[in-house]
Amino acid sequence: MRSVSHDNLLSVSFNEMGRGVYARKAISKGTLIHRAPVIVHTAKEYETLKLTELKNYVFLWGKEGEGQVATVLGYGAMFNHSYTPNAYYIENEKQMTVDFYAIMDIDKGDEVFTNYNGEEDDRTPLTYDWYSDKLQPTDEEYNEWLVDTGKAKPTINIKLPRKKKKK
Amino acid sequence: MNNNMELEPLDFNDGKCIMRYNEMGRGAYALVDIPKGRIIHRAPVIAMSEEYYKYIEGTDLVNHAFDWTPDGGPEGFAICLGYGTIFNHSFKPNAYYISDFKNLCLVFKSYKDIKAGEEIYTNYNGDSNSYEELPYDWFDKSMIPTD
Repeated sequence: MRSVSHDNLLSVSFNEMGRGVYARKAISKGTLIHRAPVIVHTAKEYETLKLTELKNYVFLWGKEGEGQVATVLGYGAMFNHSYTPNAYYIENEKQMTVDFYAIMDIDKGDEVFTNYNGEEDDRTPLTYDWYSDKLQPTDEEYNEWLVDTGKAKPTINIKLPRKKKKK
Repeated sequence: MNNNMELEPLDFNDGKCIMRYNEMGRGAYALVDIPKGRIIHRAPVIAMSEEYYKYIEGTDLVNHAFDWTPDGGPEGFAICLGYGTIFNHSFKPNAYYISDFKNLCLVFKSYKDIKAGEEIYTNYNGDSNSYEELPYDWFDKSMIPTD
């Protein structure tokens, strides 16, 4: 894979989606993996910005209903979307950054995904033109992800040995 | 960017550089000595064709846009992500940048030996030796050095 840029923990590489972010070393659950500085735009500025390629890259910012968005620098805009992500992001208004955390252990070489809905377990269809229902995980995949992230306990599926009937 | 001095710095380039807030807004500083000719940063970009430039005019993104016209290709511009736009401008820069069209990134390299603690500057004209005036509202003719 062709790497474009990297830092200690992450690299940006080309893949079939365009570009994506990959782990350069094993990352444990809960790690702050990236802090990306932002440029904040007003709702009015977004009116024209959304007519450009930037519509696929900006993040919602600030109070709901005010319509602010942010261009996220660093590698923040390079993460791809997944409904079973291994990372999540929070808006850090005080530091003017978007902070990315691992929600499960991530292996070296794995792609790092976030859920573009903001909440990592939100399965609402996305409004991007590249969205397709095929991106939705099957119930089985989703349940497995719930277990991997510690949101659900594994279902115990062990057959108890039957007692032998006495002859 | 006025009251940003309290914001925490962020490191990049494998911890060799740091983004800090200063009176110019953001600035990039070397944390270690960087010899001449080294890659300081590779910043991914979002490339667009020239017709879209009018949609970013009037926003802060004009300060983050670079000329992006591959040889023989259509005229365009690119929004620089990564830490590419935190380098401030100087007519006596210690770093420069080149466009890596194939990898969709801007590559920042040291133009001189840079000592630990120094701020890293590029010449926004693209050419490190150009004294041409800049089209930004913060530009002031007195910034151009005398002979």
